[in-house]
Amino acid sequence: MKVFVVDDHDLFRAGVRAELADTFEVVGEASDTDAAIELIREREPDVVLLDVHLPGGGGRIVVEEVRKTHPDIVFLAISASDAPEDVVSVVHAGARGYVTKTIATAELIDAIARVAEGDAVFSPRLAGFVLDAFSAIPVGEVDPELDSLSAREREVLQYIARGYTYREIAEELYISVKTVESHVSAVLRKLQLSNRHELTRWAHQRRLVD
Amino acid sequence: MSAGAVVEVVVEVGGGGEVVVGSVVGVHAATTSAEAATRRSPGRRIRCTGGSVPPGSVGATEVLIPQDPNTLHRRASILDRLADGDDLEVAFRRIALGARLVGLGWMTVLVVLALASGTLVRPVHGWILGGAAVAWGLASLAGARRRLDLVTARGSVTVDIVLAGYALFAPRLAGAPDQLFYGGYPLIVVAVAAVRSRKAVTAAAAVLSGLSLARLAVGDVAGVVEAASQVITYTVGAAIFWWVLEVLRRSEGERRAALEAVADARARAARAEERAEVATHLHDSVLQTLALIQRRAADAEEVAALARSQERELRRWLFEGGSAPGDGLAEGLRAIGAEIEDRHRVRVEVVTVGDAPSSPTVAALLAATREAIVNAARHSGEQEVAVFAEVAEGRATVYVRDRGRGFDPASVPADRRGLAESIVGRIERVGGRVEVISTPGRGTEVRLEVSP
Repeated sequence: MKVFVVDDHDLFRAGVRAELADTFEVVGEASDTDAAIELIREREPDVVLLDVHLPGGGGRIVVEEVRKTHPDIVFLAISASDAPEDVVSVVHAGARGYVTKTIATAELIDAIARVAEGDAVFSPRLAGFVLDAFSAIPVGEVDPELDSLSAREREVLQYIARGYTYREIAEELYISVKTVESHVSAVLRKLQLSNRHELTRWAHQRRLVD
Repeated sequence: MSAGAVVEVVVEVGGGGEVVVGSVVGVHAATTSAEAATRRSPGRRIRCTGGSVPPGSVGATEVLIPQDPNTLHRRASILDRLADGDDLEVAFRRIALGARLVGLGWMTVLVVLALASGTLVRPVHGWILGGAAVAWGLASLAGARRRLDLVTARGSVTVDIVLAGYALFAPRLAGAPDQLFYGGYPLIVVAVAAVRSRKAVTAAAAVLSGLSLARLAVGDVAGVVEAASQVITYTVGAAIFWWVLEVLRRSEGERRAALEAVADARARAARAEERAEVATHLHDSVLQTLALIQRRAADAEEVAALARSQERELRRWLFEGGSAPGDGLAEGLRAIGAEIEDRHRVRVEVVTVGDAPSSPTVAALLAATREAIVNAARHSGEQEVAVFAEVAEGRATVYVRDRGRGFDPASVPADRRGLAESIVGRIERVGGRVEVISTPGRGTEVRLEVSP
């Protein structure tokens, strides 16, 4: 499987490349927005490991631009920053998940493999952001299809925020891992289709707190 | 249009002006907002633009029209013009408008007096001049209200000159050449033209002087001295007006340049100060930590702990502007997590949804959570503790979870019973609940719930 690494931090890129080299074929790397868009289109990787913060526009622009021409390329967002508006904007643009840079190598490899298979990868922090985002959308401006979570989806997100893996959640709820995955994917879809305006407003408010 | 699209609610006010009430999301919100706008300004036309919102969905108000690019363009150009407005020129135009109104009023009074005295052989010229003066005054006022420049635009200056010229000859045309209609208007016309441009003021002075001389030729003016005094008034007046305006304009330009220079210097100083602050902070924190890490490179655990605490410090500085921590639930949990990370060499991942302000109940919840995290750090044998807090519907729930060795709650070891007591006791005293779920080999989760 072909992986592409985008990060403006040279040491981090080199480290990740070394960590992933045994499992995946790392087909390229880039350190800024424009180079990332151009090289990803040229190398056509399966998964792009994408830093949220990038010089020249940021991860969101990369996702938006690449997906216009290559909708099949999958993005996994990664960052050291906890600024929720940045994280949510990248996921909203189409990234399949978000992990923090402190993630262990084995977990990162697992996360990349999972997004490549079409799963959504939610770190506890992203689950917290998403719960917060959806609870912040005021009643009355809610489109039940897109702007609210089902009880089960909330439950699954709460488990993720509590540090449970998909397997552990499946055991807790007596459902299959596949069902957990489909709940998470549904949440991701809602997050991506839900209105940008509301999410942005939430992110700005949240930024003052977080 | 999808229900979530952005809709702009626009209220049209009298005279074709528009006020954007706001941009809202979704048909529901647009409806609510438009209804509120209707209540505030009954009788106004209200449009929601941004897509094909079904007609009639906004109460009893106007039919909803899809986005019209011209409207947006017009609004933008008005805003641009306002933004570009040079304060001094705006003031000049306002003064010119006032002066014109005074001149027109003066003239109207003279005409009305002449009409009333019945000395006019052909009063129609009195009516025409008076009517034109009133109409031109009202038009100038209306233009100012609509932000149209009817004061110093080229056409306006021309109207002024023509009207003043007519005023000079109207008494003769009306059959009473010894009457005086124009008053101070011609001189005011010269002043208004001076606001427009040098060319305009020259033209105004030349035309009006020429007409004064023409009146001498036809015998309206008593003598050369009177005609000459008029010519001198208009030409010298033009020169003085132009000179005064130029001096004011030049000093305004200098003032503006000075202000810009000051603002520029200030911005540069602020940037330099910011850079210095960043450098100082990095030196005191990150560089020191990096030096420590190099010295203790052999102790992996110590290095990890140093890196973690530095990361946390830097992140707080970057994203919270270095502000003092708040004292609510979320901030308290983060502080506790940080403290235990440093002291017990474990990673504590704190995720919060919602927040509760500090209170005795929240303090008890924080203290109990702290015990639970310390427990996990000490006894689980794992390097990671997950903490999740959610405040919703009047309840605050905290989960502390590890994937460590776990235990059988039915046979709690003596050392753990004491700690569980300090958790359970604290929470129950504030009317909350504690649940401990643990299985040997599968980790532990402590659930704390209170109503803050």
